[in-house]
Amino acid sequence: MSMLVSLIAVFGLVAVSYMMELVGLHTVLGIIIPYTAVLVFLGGFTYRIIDWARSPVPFKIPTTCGQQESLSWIKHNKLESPSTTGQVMARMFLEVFFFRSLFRNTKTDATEGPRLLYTSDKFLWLGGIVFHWTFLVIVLRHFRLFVEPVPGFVHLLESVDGFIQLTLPTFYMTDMVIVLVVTYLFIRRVVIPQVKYISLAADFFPLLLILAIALTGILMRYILKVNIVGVKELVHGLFALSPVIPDNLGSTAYIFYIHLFLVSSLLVYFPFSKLMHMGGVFMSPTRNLPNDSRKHRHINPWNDPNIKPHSYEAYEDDFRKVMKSVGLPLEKDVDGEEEGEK
Amino acid sequence: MGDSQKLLGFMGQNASALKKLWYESVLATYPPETAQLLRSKKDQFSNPVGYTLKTMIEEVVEGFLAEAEVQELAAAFHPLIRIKAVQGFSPAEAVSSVLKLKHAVRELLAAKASSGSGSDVLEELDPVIDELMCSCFNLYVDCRQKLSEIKEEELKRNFYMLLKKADLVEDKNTG
Amino acid sequence: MVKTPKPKELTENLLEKPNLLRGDQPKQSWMETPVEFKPGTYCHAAKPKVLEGLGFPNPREWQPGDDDWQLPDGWEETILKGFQERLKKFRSFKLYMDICVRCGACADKCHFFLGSGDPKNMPVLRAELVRSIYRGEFKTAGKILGSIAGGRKMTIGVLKEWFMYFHQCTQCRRCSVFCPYGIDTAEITMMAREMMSLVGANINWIMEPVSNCNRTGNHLGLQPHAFVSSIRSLCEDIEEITGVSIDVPFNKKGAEILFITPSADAFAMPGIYTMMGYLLLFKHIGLDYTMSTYASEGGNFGSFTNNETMKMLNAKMYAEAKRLGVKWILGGECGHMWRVVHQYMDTMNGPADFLELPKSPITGTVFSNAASTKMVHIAEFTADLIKHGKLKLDPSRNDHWHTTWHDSCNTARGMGLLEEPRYVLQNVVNKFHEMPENTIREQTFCCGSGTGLNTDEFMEVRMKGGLPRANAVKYVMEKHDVNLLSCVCAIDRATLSSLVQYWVPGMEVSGLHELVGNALVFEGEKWPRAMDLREDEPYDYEEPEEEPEAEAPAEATEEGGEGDV
Repeated sequence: MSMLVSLIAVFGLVAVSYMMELVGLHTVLGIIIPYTAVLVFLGGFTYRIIDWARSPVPFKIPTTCGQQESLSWIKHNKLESPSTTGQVMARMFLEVFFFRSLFRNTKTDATEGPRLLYTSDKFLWLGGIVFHWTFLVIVLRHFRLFVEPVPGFVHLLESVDGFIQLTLPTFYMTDMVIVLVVTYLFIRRVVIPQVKYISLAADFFPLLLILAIALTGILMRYILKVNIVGVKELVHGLFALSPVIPDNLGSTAYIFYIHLFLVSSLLVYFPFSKLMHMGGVFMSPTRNLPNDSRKHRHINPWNDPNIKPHSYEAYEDDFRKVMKSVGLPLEKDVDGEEEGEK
Repeated sequence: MGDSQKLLGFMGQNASALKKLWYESVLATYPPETAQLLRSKKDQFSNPVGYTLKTMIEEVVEGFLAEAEVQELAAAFHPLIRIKAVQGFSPAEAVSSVLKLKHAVRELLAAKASSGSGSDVLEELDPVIDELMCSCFNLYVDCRQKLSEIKEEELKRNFYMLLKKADLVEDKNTG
Repeated sequence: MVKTPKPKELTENLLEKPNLLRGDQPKQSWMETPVEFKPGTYCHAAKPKVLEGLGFPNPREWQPGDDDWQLPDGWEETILKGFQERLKKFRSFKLYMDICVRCGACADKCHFFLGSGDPKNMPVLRAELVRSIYRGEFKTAGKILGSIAGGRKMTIGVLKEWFMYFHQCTQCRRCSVFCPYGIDTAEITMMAREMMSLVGANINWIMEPVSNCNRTGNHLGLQPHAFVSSIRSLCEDIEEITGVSIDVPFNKKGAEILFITPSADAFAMPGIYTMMGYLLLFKHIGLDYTMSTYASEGGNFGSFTNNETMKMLNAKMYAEAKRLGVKWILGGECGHMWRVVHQYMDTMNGPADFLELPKSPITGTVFSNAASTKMVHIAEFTADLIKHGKLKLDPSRNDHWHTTWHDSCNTARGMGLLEEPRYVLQNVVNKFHEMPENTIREQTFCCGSGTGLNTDEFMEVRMKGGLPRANAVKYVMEKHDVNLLSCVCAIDRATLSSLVQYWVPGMEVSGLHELVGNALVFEGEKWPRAMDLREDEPYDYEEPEEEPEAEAPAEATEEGGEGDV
């Protein structure tokens, strides 16, 4: 059900943009929507981060995955139980760039046991890391279209990515990889029962949307061959804040507009979805705090100073007699047989 | 296990198919999300239930082939029954793991109807299954009984010093 | 034999009764699967008297199995208001509502899921029980699209679901270790329990100890004289066994160190042996310390209820340290007590500027890692003593034990106390074997009874939840003849004892300092002595005939004489 909804939604987006292109709403598709999308993305992303940041972190609660810093002769695990800001940054670096926690999953399959089907865990990490890195490379590669002159790192990426020269224009491995890996991540959600059970439309939709973006991109580049000069002109215009709609995109311009519309959709959808994990991962209190809570006091802004314990005095009042009977020292020794006061 | 040549022969020929069929039928007593986990994780420690099930099936089928005593076969069942006894399964559901062996054998026999020796095999199998059922049923009840004992003993342990003071427990208690 | 009914049909008929664990309707989504309260699968509801005493809302006589939970009018509003309030107060909660991508990495990491097979025990789904309300009540998409956007409304069915599954989470944080964003179900469980207590959906096993701790200072609600006499009686046992006479200081002003440990160590088996171990250790090094009857509970069941109650109970530690004028605090073996002390205490009840930087009076070591809280874990303290050679130890006195080490969830994943206890253990015993790698240290499996779920009516679920732990214990028992599961947690000591009784008969459970106590060699002690602290474990004095030179230290010669058992 949720899968079907997502599929329909993505097809809907494609159809809408195709129709808009047919009726010639090029300014809307090529200028208004992309600008709106970028604004929504930037505004939404910032808003979400600020919104999270507005909620304080009342307690210092890192999940410790290794030996704490304690006695000098006990080896402190600086990465898994960091106690300084530098160590926390190292932990976060591995977390963000190499998905260290997810990688832990691979360990568990090492020991003996009856041989059975497959080990999904390893693939989840691999799928995740390949997907994210590929996505990043593809985004960076697009900088060729964004700015002039083309930044140096783009050339480097292109030459590595286009190492296998299969097609003309140069075939980029990432184009194939992203289709494969997104397909894998999608199939995984459908095939593994416990993952299917927990999956929502919000899980299928972004995968399908990204798949659609990748496919339209591939179509545009290798098969329908939109005129790249025109594309560059349009995108440069957008980035230079002097937008133009070029008329030399060729007969297959529609695929470019669909691609651009889908990317815009992703940008708009991003801040309101789970995709915000991109920003959220940096803010997770179980990961981004040092394990030094006994060394440095953490401040809770809403700590309520009026919460007091049941006082010792009240306690002694309650139990003075029996305390005396076992010889416990008293703050206020009342002589009378009965307790003198309340 | 006495004279069970037909059964032995049949099991020997169909051991792996039998294991698979039986395994899947016990797995089917769990929700599909859970069954998949039990099936896919092979590590003994990150998947204790799946491992126990797999081990039981291996041991029982291999036990049959090695002409083990019924008690030994029953012992192979016990870890699984012990688990099912606390997993919210009724006694019938728990001991049905034994029945599922019989059904797996029948299903295999039906698939190979041509051999014609089906009834002999089943005749040899029935008494064993009966005994296994009884044994597993006993164990299930024992497990439930054990739970109440554990509850009682835990209470005693938690209040040990008080009970001792009131002379309600023996001084030297074996934890 | 020709035409029998299909065997499968037979079983299906036999097992018609619907069961949560049976995949009867695999098509049904989890939101449509209602909970079913059966005896053994839930903890008893908090008694009205207890809630009243603490000023908690909606005290009444009820049970989770009731159809009508007697909730006040507008309870949904109360929960939702509490929900929003907590989103504003806890970044963890807000963030973890938003960023989960449901990748499923956590799914099979939960001991309750592994043991019960109930899909709602997958950490991701447990959290979705709350997230679905977040989306359905507060998010535009969820409000409009409902279940398509993964949202739903707060109903009694949802509350019942929360009650069941947030009392099947022990806040052990194992899922958080594997989550790529560190999403910690413990945080979500804490919030869900806080919200439930807004409408009076509490369990008695948590609330009654809270109430007792508050007034009398300990879980059982034992009055000061009972606490003192219990420990004195333990001292008598110690003297009888070892010949060492100990006088424990209570509420003593001006002592150097205040010692606080869970009260179970004073009353319960096998915690009392750990208490004997502490007392022997303090005697051995001549420590200037005091125990307190007012702050006689290290454990903090408030942390299983809400942060206010946690703070209130915890505040006694500093209050008493201040009143007695001690220099610093030494904490005994307890899991969740140390989660609170390590990660919450200073923030809630600090700064402890009336205390001094903790410094071991015996070795001079400064515990700079506790510079702010001024509270040191006894495993840290003892490890330091051993490292400096301040203890006279004979590990062969523990030779009847073949040990393994259980890392308690809280000290492992909420503190990082992994090596200190191992160092101590390996210096007081000769036989030690680790459990498999993926079941210890940061990957340790919970006892299945933490966070106030260690009540007897919950035994069935506890046995399920503890299965992964027990399974690894069983493995080392079979492989290496291990017969003692040692740990630094009072709930563990109480509940692992029950757990192994069911899954691993023959295994015993002990605290770390029980073994320290056994191994300590005193001047003028009773020797040879026939028993260890448990009195029922005789030493085998026939052994020395075969030359005791093995690895027995200096005092082994004293063993020469035949001991009478």
